[in-house]
Amino acid sequence: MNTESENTTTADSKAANSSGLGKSVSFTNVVKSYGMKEVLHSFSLQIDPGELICLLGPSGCGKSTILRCLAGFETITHGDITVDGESVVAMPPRERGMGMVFQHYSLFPNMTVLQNIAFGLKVAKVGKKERLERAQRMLNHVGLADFGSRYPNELSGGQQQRVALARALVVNPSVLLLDEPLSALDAKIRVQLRDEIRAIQQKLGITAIFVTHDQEEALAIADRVAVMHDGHLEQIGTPYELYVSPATPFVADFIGQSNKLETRVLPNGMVDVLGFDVPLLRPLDANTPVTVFVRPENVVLRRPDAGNGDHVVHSSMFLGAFERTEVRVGTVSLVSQHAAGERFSPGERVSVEIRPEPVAAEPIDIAWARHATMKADVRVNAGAGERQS
Amino acid sequence: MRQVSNALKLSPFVVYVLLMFALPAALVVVSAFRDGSGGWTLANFNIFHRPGVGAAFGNSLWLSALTAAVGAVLGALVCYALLGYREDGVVHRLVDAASSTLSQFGGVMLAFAFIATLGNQGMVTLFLREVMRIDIYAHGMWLYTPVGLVLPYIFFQMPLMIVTFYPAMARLPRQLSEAVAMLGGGAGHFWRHVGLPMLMPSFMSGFLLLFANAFSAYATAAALISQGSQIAPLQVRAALISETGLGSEGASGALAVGMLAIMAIVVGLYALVERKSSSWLC
Amino acid sequence: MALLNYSVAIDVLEADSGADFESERSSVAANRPLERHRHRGTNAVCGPRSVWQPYDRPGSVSKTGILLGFSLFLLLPIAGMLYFTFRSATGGFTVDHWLALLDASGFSFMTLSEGLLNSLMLVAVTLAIELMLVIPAFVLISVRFPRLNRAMGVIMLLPIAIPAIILVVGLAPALAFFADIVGPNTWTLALAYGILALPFVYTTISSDLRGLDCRTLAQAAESLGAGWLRTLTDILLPCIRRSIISSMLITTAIVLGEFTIASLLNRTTLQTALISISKTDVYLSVIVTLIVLLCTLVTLFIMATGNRPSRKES
Repeated sequence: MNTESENTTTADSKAANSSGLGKSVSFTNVVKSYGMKEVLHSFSLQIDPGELICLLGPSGCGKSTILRCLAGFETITHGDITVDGESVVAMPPRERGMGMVFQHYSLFPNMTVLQNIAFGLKVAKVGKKERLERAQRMLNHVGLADFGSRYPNELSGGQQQRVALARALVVNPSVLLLDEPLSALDAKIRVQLRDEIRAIQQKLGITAIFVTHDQEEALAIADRVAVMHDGHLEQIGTPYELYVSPATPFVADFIGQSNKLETRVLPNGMVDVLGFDVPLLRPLDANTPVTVFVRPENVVLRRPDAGNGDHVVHSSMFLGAFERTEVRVGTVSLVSQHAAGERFSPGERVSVEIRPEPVAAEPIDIAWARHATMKADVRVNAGAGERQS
Repeated sequence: MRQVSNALKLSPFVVYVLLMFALPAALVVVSAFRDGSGGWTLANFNIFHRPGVGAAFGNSLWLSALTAAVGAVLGALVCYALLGYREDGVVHRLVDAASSTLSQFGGVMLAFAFIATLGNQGMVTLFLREVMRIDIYAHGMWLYTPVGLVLPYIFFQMPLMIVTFYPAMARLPRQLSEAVAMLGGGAGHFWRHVGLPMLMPSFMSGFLLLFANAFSAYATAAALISQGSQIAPLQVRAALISETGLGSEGASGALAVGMLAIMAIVVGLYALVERKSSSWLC
Repeated sequence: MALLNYSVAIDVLEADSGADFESERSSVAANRPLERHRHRGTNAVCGPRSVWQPYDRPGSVSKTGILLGFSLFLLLPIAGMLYFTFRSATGGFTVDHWLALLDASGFSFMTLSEGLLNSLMLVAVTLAIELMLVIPAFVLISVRFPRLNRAMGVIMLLPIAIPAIILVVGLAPALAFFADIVGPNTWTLALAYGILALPFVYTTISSDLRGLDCRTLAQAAESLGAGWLRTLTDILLPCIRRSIISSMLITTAIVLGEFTIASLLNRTTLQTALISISKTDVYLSVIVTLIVLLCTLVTLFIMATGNRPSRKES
């Protein structure tokens, strides 16, 4: 069609090993400092072609920095980043061939929706007719077929973000970067768009990195989730792995909800939680004082067959499919999650049972010392997660 | 009820503006259509046939357009350079302070400054004449003609552009340049397709403001131009002085209406571009 | 078919949506940069050499170059004035012109001090008008009549667009009317100056108000039982303190520099005094110009310094 592409014949065959478009991405010991302050400490991560990885963590944990290092907007201080085995660290962003969706849409307000999407093709000198046609087809795929001639400020936030997605995808990027793309949207749109992003990503087989601070979002769409904290990778694994076997207390606390209870490791290697023996995810020495993280769904409440239970129901919250009930146990309060059919009313006396599901535990007092050993565990676990996926 | 009380709170301001601005402006316009005995007439507009009046309007137009264009472009460049400095840094504060002062530094003082610099015995003139052997006045003393107004006008136009245009420039969302880079574009693509089109409305409203500012400027010319009334505001003064008193003017009113007609076009254009810029940059 | 091309993404998406596009369409193969630049960057350890310079930020060479040129242009006339005041009639160096400033008896000095005093009084009255009449009205408009904002943007251009030389013609009767009531005082000129300053006060104040969600603030204050006056003085005005101060500074600069109206209405202000003494002693007028200019500059700079938000706050 358009012949601006003399040098395309040099594109080599390695790029096309694909059924999809996915490329592998690898971070090796990436360090990023601003002046004396190190914000990423030796970050390593392997991403497989076609995988969707969520970088999850509280704000300031370094997750956006990683994305910006990969995009080329931040220059890494040490280490290497490769895409399909090629180092990209010396390339300016425009040459990296990635696509990015920003938190605040960042559409070009002076262009129509269609012109926005066609912009990347225009830069690549694709002929006018072809680029408009492709932009229109991409627009159809994000469900905005009739919006091509509108201006961005005439669209809702969700529509704008769809356009931004189409704009990033139409140039066929090697990797799709999403920097908290949904956090400015309403809850309902957020869920809907999140599922659409996942569907399109899977259909294209494109490698995607999705930064978010919303754990529900991360668990819902990611192949694997990388949990970050203070510039470290805490754990990487499938959503299921993170939930049932958190490698560090931080992950146990950050992913899902947990009751934090103080107890002691028994000689048999289990911990005593309110009189029930519960196994540990990772062994600890007997007698170590620990905080254990017990999931609310593993706290079972029962109405005693006869007489009164030992504990008093404090409050109860209806959450649709399930119900969350808070019980006073001595001085602590314990949250239980159960099917919505079983209702407990405040003031009712119940008995409590803890299911023997393995729990994460953090030694008390010497927590900081233990933290270091757990870090080592993370790496092992990260490797394991990768093999599984 | 509430609207009424709000309107009441606004009334002192409205009365003030009506009395000190709308009313005087209206008086001037009406005076253009009045003859000496208080009847309605168009005869006052015959002053436009008087020699020199047309030329003075022509001078005012090119002078305003030229200094507004040069001032706007140079001022925008300075705004661009300022983006590279910390908003709370010394450079920024210095430029801010200098621009706000100098944008109002019209008139008499400005005329003195340029006479001291570019006058026959001015620093730059002497330097060029004695060291570089260039006589900038070989072809006549242009400093005291409309041509001589160009540099002094730019001297206050440029700072005014900085004051008005910088906020628009600073509001340009930072991620747009990143979005362009992610799509494979370079700085050229960014400026040509995104940056300049987005800034154009603000730039144009800056230009129109500068145009109006130069077109109305009187004091610098009054202090600098020695002979004749070579720009429109000086014509108004001449008409005023030749009449009996400030209240009974027909010719000056007609000249004023001529100037206001040009300004009406400028304000109309301004309203148009302002609408566009506010929808993009917010 | 070892080429990646731009239409791949679309083709994949359309593969099972049943769209029927001719698949062998001649297509622009993607000269994806990754392939083009594969010879680069095999260094596993990369120094912090930046690969990204935001397109909308100037490089260090261009920014210093532009600002250097700008400051030269601004400094030249100021240097010219300095040079002029130290130059004797024969072309040598002299401080006589500056020493003449100390001679407090001459006619020039009397005129000048009268003009300066009048101008300072006008500054005070104009500032009072802006503070008590104009700024509260601007705040009220943006809180209660937000739909007027766009119209205000254009209306507030008018005092610039309607030349002062024209306005003065109509102002004469209006001011004469005031003079009949309160006597022929110089301060009535401030009523006109308040109008001249409107556009500049409006731009500064409105850009600050736009950043502040003043409607919500006002509603919050009133839901707590505050009246309008209290809301204004205790909440809204303190929030836009910064722009109020800078608009006051601009107003001061305008009043000190105004010539047109004062001269045509035959009032004595700093500017008209400068013109009249320049006819007898041009050196003195240049020296005074220098002093006024530098004082304004320094004041503005100091205000800007004291006025900036502390880093902790932000």
